[in-house]
Amino acid sequence: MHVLLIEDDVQTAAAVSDLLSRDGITVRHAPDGESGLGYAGDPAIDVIVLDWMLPGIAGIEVIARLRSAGVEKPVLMLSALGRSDHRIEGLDRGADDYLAKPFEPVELIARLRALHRRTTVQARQPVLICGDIELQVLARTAHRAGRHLALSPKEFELLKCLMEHAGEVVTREMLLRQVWKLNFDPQTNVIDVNLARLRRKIEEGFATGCLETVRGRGYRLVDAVAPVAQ
Amino acid sequence: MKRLFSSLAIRQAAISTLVVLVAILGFGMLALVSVRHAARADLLNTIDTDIAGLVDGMVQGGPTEVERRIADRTSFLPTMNAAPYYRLTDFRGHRLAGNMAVGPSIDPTRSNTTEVTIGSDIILARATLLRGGLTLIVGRSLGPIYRVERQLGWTLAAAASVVTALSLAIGLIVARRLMARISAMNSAFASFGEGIRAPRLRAPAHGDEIDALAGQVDLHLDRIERLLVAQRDITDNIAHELRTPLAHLDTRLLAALDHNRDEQVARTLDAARADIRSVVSLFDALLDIAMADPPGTEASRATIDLSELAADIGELYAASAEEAGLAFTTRIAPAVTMRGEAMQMTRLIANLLDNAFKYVPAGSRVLLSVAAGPVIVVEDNGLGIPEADRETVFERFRRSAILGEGHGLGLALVRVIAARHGLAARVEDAAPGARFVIAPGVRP
Repeated sequence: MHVLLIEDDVQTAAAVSDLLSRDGITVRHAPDGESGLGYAGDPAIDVIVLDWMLPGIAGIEVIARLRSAGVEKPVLMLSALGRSDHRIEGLDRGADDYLAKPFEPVELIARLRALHRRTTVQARQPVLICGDIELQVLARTAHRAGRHLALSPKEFELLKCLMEHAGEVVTREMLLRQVWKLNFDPQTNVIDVNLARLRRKIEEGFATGCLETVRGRGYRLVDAVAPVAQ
Repeated sequence: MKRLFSSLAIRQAAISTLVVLVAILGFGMLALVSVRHAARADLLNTIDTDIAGLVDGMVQGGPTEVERRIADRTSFLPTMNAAPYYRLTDFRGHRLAGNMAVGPSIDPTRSNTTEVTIGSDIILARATLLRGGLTLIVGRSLGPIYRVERQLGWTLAAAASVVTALSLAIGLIVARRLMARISAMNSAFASFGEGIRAPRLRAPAHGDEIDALAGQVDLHLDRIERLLVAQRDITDNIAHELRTPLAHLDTRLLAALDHNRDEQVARTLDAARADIRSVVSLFDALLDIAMADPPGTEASRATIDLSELAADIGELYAASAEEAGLAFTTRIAPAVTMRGEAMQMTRLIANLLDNAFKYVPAGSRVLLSVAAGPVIVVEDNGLGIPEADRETVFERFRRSAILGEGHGLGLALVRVIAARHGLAARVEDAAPGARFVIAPGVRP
């Protein structure tokens, strides 16, 4: 995956580049909107990461110019503006996703992957498989090792979200946003409790666990049947 | 009707019309009384002259001369003036002359004057004693005076109604125009308060005080709008300036965490990262509370299904309630909709539930209900909130003395979000427990 990063803050740009390249993502950096627009047309670029507050042309304006130039590549807005009306405005103006700084690095990667998937043939897989867990997306049924898992609709969404990012860390914020459409973290431990319930349903009665808690970051669904690589 | 008269301009028109009406009627009555007075005096004068003439006849030719003069005078019927009436009687009361068949009871010794009805006519009559025990009564019809009075009365009534109608009509037209101009200002302010970009009044140049006021309104709406935008820009900048270094700090902590193998250090670094997150969320909440909606916000709002939204939130919290040993139930009326921002309303309900879950002891009941209005209620049977604290509980950084958790902005945000949607937040005694009610507020 090739990402175009349009970001004026050198430190953030370096950190994001470093982060993405460690995950095998190629990053091209543009320090302002002008040069960013120059690179955006390059067919090698898959996804654009765009800072909101840029010198010269503002991020919002960059999207408008991209779209009017016929560039339909997914754009993820990265911004230090975190209020909910900013998210709404960003998404209204044509951004495909919005992430407020400071963000969880795994979340940025997961979202970039998701945006990339949307544009490629991998999108809308009818069956998701992770180890011995199988999810029929359209029929909305889940099985582990052939045994049916009785999940509530929200638990199904939760498991689906985790399976779409199988092997990756999924943060609380991502789960809240994707499953419950919330852009804030309630003070009550709702996510942990709901995850604990899901874990009980997908692990109880099976020999191995498959849902890991990554302390301080989030959760990760792992392949329970693959031999553990040391 | 009551609504109509609550308008200042209409009231003013009604009052001025009433004043005009009272003035016309007052002056009219005065004119009528003085006309009646003058006419009667005139009539009495005529009667006196008549009597004097007849008395003179008595002196010159005795009763025969009087009878002759009476006959002369009654045979002449005046066209315009009041018809004359006479009666001459002897000491026994027998009529000697005159056209009054029946004598009115007037004391002739005092030259009394009285009103007498004769047939369909009302007359003013005066009696006097002549020599030889004769009594002379002379009268004049009051008919012409009454006719003049009636005419004057009708003229007055007609004038009063015409003037009243005119005054009312002009008053209402002026009132309407005045009202339209004042209403324009009112609605400009009202829509501004609701976050709608208010159209400027741009008053046509009458050059009067209301135009001057309209000009001031425009000026201040411009100024407020500029301030709101400036405030938004400033908070954006503050947010940017604060978040960027925090993001860097977070990146550094994460890098340290990646290279670290010590469990104790990892715990500390994780805690530090959690602190950064709570600073950011505190900051977001503070900015959110401090921000006023700039004009144009209302236009971006859509109709949202509050019932569905509340049901989703209820489901999310159900597991946590069970875990905490709370009996959590929802009572949600179907298809309650409102205009608003879904995420903000979700946050409002979540904050109310967070608050309830945090403060009620295990084993308590918590109820979330949504009804048309919209009315959102979160009720518990926990410790309740002392009456003195029921208003301050919505103030920022106000926390219950019982537990010191959280940043103390949850309920402040509830009130702010409610206000942005034209709703008011209050807390009541659920005896026992607390009942938070979000319902349409009284519009100023």
